[in-house]
Amino acid sequence: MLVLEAFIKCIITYTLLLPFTSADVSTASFEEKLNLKLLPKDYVLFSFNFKLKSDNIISSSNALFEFKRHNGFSRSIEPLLTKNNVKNLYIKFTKGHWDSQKWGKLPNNGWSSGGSGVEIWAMMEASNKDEVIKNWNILMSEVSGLFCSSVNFINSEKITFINDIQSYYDVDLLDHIPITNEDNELFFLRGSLANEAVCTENLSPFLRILPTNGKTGLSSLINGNRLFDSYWNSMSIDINTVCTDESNCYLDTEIDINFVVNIPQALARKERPTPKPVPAEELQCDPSKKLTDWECFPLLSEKTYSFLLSDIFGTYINDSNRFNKEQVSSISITGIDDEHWSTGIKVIPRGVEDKEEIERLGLLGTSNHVYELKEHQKTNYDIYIGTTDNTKVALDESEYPPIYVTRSLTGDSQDKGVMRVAFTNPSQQREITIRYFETLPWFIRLYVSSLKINVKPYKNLNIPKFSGDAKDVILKTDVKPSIIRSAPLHMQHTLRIPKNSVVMMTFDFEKPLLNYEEYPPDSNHGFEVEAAVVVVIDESYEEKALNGEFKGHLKDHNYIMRTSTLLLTLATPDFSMPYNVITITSTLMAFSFGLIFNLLTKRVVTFEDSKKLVTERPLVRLLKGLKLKK
Amino acid sequence: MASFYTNGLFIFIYITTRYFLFPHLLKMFNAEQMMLQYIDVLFNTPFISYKTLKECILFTQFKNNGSNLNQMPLYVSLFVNIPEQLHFYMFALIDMLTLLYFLKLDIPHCVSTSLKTKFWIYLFNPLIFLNLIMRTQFVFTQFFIIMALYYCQNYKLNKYHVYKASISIAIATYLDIYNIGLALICLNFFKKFNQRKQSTICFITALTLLYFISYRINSNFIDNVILSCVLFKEQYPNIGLWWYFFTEMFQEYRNFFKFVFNGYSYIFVIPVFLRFKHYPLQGSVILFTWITMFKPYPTVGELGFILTAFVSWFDMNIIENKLIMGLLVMHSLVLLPVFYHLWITVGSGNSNFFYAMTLVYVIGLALVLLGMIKSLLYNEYISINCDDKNHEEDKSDKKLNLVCV
Repeated sequence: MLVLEAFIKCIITYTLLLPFTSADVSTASFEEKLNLKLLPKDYVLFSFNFKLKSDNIISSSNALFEFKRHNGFSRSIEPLLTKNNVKNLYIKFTKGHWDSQKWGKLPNNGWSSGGSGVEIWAMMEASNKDEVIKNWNILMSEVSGLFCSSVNFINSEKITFINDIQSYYDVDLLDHIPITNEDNELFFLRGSLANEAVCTENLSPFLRILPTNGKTGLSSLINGNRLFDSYWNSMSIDINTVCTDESNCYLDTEIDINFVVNIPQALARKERPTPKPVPAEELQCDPSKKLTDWECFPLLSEKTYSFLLSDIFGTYINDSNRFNKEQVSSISITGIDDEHWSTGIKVIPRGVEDKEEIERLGLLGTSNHVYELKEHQKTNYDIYIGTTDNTKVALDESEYPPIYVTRSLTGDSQDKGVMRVAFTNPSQQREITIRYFETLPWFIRLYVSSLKINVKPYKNLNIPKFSGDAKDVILKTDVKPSIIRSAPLHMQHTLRIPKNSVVMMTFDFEKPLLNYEEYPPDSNHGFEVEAAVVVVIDESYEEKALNGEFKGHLKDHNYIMRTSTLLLTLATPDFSMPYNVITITSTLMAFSFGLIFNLLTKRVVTFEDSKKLVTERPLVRLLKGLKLKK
Repeated sequence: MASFYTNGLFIFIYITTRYFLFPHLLKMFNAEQMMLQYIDVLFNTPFISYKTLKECILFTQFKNNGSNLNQMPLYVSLFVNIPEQLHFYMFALIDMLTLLYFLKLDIPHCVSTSLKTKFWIYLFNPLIFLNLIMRTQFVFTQFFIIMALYYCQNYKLNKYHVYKASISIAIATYLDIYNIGLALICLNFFKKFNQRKQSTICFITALTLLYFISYRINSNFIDNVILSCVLFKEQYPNIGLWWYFFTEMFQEYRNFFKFVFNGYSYIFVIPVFLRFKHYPLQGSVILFTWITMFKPYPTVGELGFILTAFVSWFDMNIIENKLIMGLLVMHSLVLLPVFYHLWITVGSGNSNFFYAMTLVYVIGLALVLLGMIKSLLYNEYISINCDDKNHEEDKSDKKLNLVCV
């Protein structure tokens, strides 16, 4: 009895003391940032960036009970990873079209957005591929529950194993990944669902991962109405397992939410939620066109305007980041010059709720357009942006994308077609090396052997044109053909695009029929084919990274982008007549069998003999006998 | 002497037009794009098309398994070593050899087809020619079948001919598993038990060897070619009965019906073997026709072979309803590509139109088959019941009125 009592006491003291003993080793942290980038033609890109670090995820072995402390880090993520032996997990929800001709490079060099739909990358530890696929399927159903998305449809029919990891992943980080079993390998997988509808139910899990829960700090601005009413939006979460030593590992998580909004439209939406014509007194007419009392061609956009973030989002920024006292939340505005643009912050103290009173509050401006939310009390913030000439937004030379890619399906029939990919290198100074990463579903029977490639100049300039064999453009090809109903076609071409030229690749393909139950309910709509991934490689960097002389981050050197998704129409059978087909075919088969069986089993005789033979048949004789008896 | 030169000139013209001029003209006018794509569905299946062959050749470099590599490894490795420009001439060579063996084949005495007629029949068969232009694998299969028949027929000339025959049959079976029944029918050629034994053993050894070598080259061929063909995994519309049936068939019954259909196409192997003991040449054509009707991936190229054999090896005088037969076949051959085009490209018809035409095609084939059997049975009656003396008189006097009971 005494022993037991002592034991219980021991446990209680242990439990009570534990938080204090391990409090100082917490590595958990949370940072948040918002960047507004003004784009030409009145577009603005909002980039929310949240960085989370978890506590040590390896529980010390001498602990009697496993106490996991989360310090604001979402509790749902860690079991998701450890249970399925996942080391890194990148999930990207994207919707819309990023117009790189107008808007330049993708935010964050393209690393925080995916192809239209859902895209998932995972680094997994396993002994073989079957085990990976098994774990992946479990992971997908869990992710699908967590993010309310149908990613559980990404099964072995859709996933690809990535070979050239160095183009997609910082190779030096591999050393920091803990491997539980020495015999196991790391596999890097990718799967995606094309044109999966991304909407509010996918956003709220993202916000729930944040310690602020989308209620305070910068995340209080984000709401589904605004985010999904944009021209292009992407939400991504990158989870990396990083170990400093064997017993110290943490989850490094980065959440990026980017979207592009057209300012006049967003403001008009606030003023006139239902579409109504602009009142006459507010109408700005184009003086260069016909202008009478009755006719007015409206100006495409106003030259001068000013707005507050609350006009666009409908709310103020509620409070600042309270989790990290060193790293305060910051808002920066880029892509503007001081001459024509002005910005400012409005600090709305606690208790001030009257609209007019808020309007009267003064603005504070900084010269570098960076604002920090410093007040450590309940305060609302608002950001002001105004311009005298909205055309004075220009992209830097370095902000233009190094490549444009278009991919399309051609061909007029439903049984075959041609896939055409065109890579454009607009640069007149240097040639670029790219990796073209393609995953196609098994029901595209692509003939890799039918590849035709040609090189054309992009613009007619005086620089020398590409001369040489177009086949030399391909440096390396890696193809894994599809397997019916179990694996997609995966091909990766490494290409060198000469300066100022367009490289066009075409592939022939055929389309099969599917079984009737495999067609979607709206079978004539077609099937979505996921986007291809194109990485522009910094070759010198990659060489260094492979040799272990690591310099800088991969994400600063390689530019990644996705093509648009494709819509593939398949030939459809007539779904209404399965019974007809089955019965008619069977009838025909029985009919021809009968005819031939009949001939094979019968004797050939002359017509005269046949009469005699017929009368001697047992059945005929029996009938005759019956007749006689009567 | 003069006729020798005319013949030489004639053969020269034949070779240049068939193998050089026509293909070149077709290339010049971009036939692939303009015409051949419309009849693609008739001649090509994934298992015999030249496109697949090219894909297989490419993937000999990569060593990756893919389910669309539907060609036999040995067939592929034959073409790997030939530069791509000369591929067509390989097919042309085989086609020429086919013609040679076809001409050398002894025709049954009841059929009076001259050498010249046979030559014209083969030459002007558009189906065989288009098959050659499309460079399908059936050019090879057809060659090995005809070669096997030739060696079977002339097994007495040379003791090695038995082996040659069995090996050709084994290769034909290797290229298309559905030809396996022909091996049994060909045993009827050999009169002695010893030769039959030799032939059987040789056939089995050759086939095993072929499969073994293929397995060493690429072990995935079992899945990708044989099982994929037999279990109808590549669902492309073709002129057979399987594609629509299995697209519409309910999931639970699919495997059962695949089993039934396969059994169905082999159902007449033993009956034909037993019934036409004395007519193995015709018997093999009859079996081949039956299997073509009900195999998963039939093509019109096979019809070309069947029609050529039908016209030259069977007594056409006995066969009735030749007009209906011909019209049915023509009707389906014309309307098959038209309805396919309407369904797939134009979109103004649906799959039922094409399906209906495949039914007509099969009925046409069934009538041809019926004609073959009837002609053979009547011939048999005449050769058994009418002595040589009477035979001449009978023929001249009146036509025998025969019936089956």
